[in-house]
Amino acid sequence: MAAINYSTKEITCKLVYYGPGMCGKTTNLQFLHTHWPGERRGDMVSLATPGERTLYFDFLPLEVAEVNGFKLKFSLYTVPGQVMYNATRKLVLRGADAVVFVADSQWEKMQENLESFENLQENLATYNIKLDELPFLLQYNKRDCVDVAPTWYLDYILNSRGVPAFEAVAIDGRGVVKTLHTLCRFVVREMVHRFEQGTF
Amino acid sequence: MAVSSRAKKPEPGTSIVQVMSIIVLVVAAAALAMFLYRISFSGENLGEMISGIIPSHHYPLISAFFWLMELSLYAGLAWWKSGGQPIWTISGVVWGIVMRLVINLLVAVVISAPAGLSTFRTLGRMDGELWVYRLIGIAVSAGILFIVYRQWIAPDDTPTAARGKSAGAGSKSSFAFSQKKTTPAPAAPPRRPIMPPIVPQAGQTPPEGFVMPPPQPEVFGVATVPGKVILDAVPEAQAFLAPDTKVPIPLSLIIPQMKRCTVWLTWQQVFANSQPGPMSADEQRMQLSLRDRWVRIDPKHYALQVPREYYRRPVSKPAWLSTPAVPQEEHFHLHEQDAE
Repeated sequence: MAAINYSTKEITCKLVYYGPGMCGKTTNLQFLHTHWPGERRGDMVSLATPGERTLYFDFLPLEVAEVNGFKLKFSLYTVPGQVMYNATRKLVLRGADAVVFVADSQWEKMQENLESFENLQENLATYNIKLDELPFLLQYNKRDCVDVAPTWYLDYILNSRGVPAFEAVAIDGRGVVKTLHTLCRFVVREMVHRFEQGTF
Repeated sequence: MAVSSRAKKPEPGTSIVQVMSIIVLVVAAAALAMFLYRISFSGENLGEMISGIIPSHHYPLISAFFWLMELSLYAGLAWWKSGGQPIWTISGVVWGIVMRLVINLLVAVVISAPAGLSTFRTLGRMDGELWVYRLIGIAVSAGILFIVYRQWIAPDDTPTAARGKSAGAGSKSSFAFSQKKTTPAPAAPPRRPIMPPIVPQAGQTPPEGFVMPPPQPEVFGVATVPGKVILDAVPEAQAFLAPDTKVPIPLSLIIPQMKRCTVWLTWQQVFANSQPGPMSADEQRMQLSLRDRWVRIDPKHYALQVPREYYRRPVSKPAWLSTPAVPQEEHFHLHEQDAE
């Protein structure tokens, strides 16, 4: 749930980029970090192995807009995708306001995509959250690779909820901002809606 | 697949938490020792107040009891955390006693100096009226042993969680933006956890708990799969199966498993409807011996051959997707242009 600081008039939402190992979660954040206007972003915190695998998590704070006199900030997190880091994934998920599931479009990664997606639902369930209750989007990354599955197949495997899914080439920035932008919209909608209902 | 079970393996790079835990433990013990020293162990009256709880003629008994407790405590801890490995259990006992002696020696130095007493005499008195320091030493040694063995000998999932909690990864309080920028990779490679290597299952056996769904009899047609896919799982078959052979597999077997991405079939199922050419007696015998072997077929080999109608799934849209748009969203347009 978003954190509201009435003294500084800031609302901070936590967005988590989830997905299998090497699918491009960190690349998403790196692109945003390098292209987001400097005065509206903080430092990117990243703890990676020498092989550029995320060891712990990546963190990037972004200031997105001003809503009703409050500065709206999004803290972007990624999870380590490798199977053995599940405890870290679980911790990073805690308190998430929204999730982007980054899928690797390559055929050979289909099973890993599915397992990671199931793992996401299992980890959310430990906090008594269902994926249906949380704004989340799909990003089909690495569309520039040679041996990629068609998007309808990825939809079949991952998108039984009919949520927006975006094709992306995170390394070039294609689809990165669009994904974030759409997710931010859904988060704000939910937030305003809850404010109006008095359930925030 | 066994995501969750494999996920319970520990993560590398958690030694900082272990070292911090040991430091906290030692500092807490030192604070307790100092407190005891202040209230009753100073000067010539060393040990007067607390030692008095136990009559002096019971000291040999207490000493024997402490030895017994100490040995069984270290051995029990080491046995438990090492999963019953005798070598680690013995090492645990030795290390526990050595650590306790070192701790007690340090304590003896600290409390003897102000009173002008002999360090080794004070150390010796820890078997007698200064028994309380020995007790603290045992507790600290056992604590260190527990922390070290928990991570380095028989790690489990918990230390990782503790690490995450200490870093505040999932907490809102971490939004204070006080983190240091740590973009460069750590200088030293992370310590590898002691765990068996994960061997990829390349077509040998289905995942744990796999249940073969029944074939769909109303589905007709086949998808052809390269013989190489079969040979990856059953290399012995290369005597009578060429890698470039197109092996037809009934869609009635594939479609029920499509939601799981990967299709698992037995050799017998794959070749149930094929018409083998003339085979030698040896080849026939080998065919029979392979009938229960599993073959894994990745979606790449069949997905585009399955008619699209079989990919239609009922869509259940979540409620948040139909939340009406709000005017506040309009603020975002600018930033989209900023960045792309």
